[in-house]
Amino acid sequence: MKCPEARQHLYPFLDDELDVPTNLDVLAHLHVCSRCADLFEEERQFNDSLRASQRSVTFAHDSRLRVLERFRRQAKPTPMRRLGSSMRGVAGIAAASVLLISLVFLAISLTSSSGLALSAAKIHERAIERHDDLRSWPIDSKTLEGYVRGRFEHASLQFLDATSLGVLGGRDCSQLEPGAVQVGLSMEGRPVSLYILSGAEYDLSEFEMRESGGRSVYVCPARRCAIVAWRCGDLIYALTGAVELEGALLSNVPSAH
Amino acid sequence: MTRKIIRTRREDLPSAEEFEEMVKPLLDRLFAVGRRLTGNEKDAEDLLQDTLLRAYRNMEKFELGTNLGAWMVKIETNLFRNAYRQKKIRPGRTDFEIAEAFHEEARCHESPDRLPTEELLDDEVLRALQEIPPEFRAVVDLAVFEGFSYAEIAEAIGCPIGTVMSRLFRGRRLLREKLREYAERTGMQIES
Repeated sequence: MKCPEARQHLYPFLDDELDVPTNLDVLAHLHVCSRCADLFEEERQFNDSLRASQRSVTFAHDSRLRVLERFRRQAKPTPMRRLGSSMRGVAGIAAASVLLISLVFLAISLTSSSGLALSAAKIHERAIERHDDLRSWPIDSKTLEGYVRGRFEHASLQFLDATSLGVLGGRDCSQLEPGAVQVGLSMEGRPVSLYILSGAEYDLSEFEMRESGGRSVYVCPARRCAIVAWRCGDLIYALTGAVELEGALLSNVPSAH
Repeated sequence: MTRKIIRTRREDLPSAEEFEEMVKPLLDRLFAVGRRLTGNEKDAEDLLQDTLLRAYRNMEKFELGTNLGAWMVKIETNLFRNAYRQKKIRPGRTDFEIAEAFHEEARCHESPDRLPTEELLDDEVLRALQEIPPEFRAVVDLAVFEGFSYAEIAEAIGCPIGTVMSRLFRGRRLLREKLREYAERTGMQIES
């Protein structure tokens, strides 16, 4: 990923709206491009400042009382409103009838093979969007291949050894973390992307969450590394292996406890 | 305070008193949203008032188990947008040409202007928000201040996600530009 493309993803990245592969691509770019890293960090700080500016806004006590008083007055049911309520019941029955008829038609249409195929494709698409296929480790190579191919249909997929990683400009993350799954992508014979996926367990007491608000980048200043983790309830799944930090990224890391 | 469970059977809908208890903890948030959207406390109070009433009268549409605050913020944003359309709330200057200029800038993938680095004050943020078009302002408010996802914003304002992203991009750039102008006028430090 080059600077213009990374910058296109600036706001979706900050808003945690990118899919996992693109997120990793952007992160990989930020690890090697200090200008973009500075830009992204600056924008993140700007967002934080905007939010912080609004934290002290309070709703004055007398205004609050006034609003609630007016609400009580207006919320009292009127005869017309009561009539409206009963009419809504009739309308509800009519709407339910229409819905039932629609469902019958929908069921008939779904019995055709194209309808079923479309439905299955949509379910699969949504599952990928929610990363359901990445929720358990160890992830098998077939699932991983399907996941990556689903994202980049014209890309060829390679599982890389340390030598190939060097060719692609990546580091041999197996030294940092044994068992990491390393995947390279190439488009028309040209390497375009590199993922290091890992299900390793980390001692998260060593790591600090870099940002609040759902971004799950954990950094370990002592080890000069970071992982991108994905939180699901109380469980944390690492999606990248430990990536070495340097330059601006490391200098912006919060101090270790 | 124990959180009440909202039941959606009509006969089980909360009374006005119960509804009032439920929304009391949300008033600060809803007022802050209204203040950012309208730019002043008087209009924010009126908007909050309308929001409470609209929410109360539509409680049967509230989905059990979802976030009441987020649902009411959506109602408030839509009331603001409708009020703006009907010109009940007069917006600040809306300069679409500036927005277009920023859009062009985005196409060129240029680096954005440097940002004010000192602490931003509430009133300057409020003033800057009023200087961006209301449609952009609503999206920026939901994303930046309320933490809504793009999909939630799209659902709330009835637009495709692409439109949300476009408005958010333009709105943020405009907001930053307004704040930068303000910082320059007041001598605030700008990174070089």
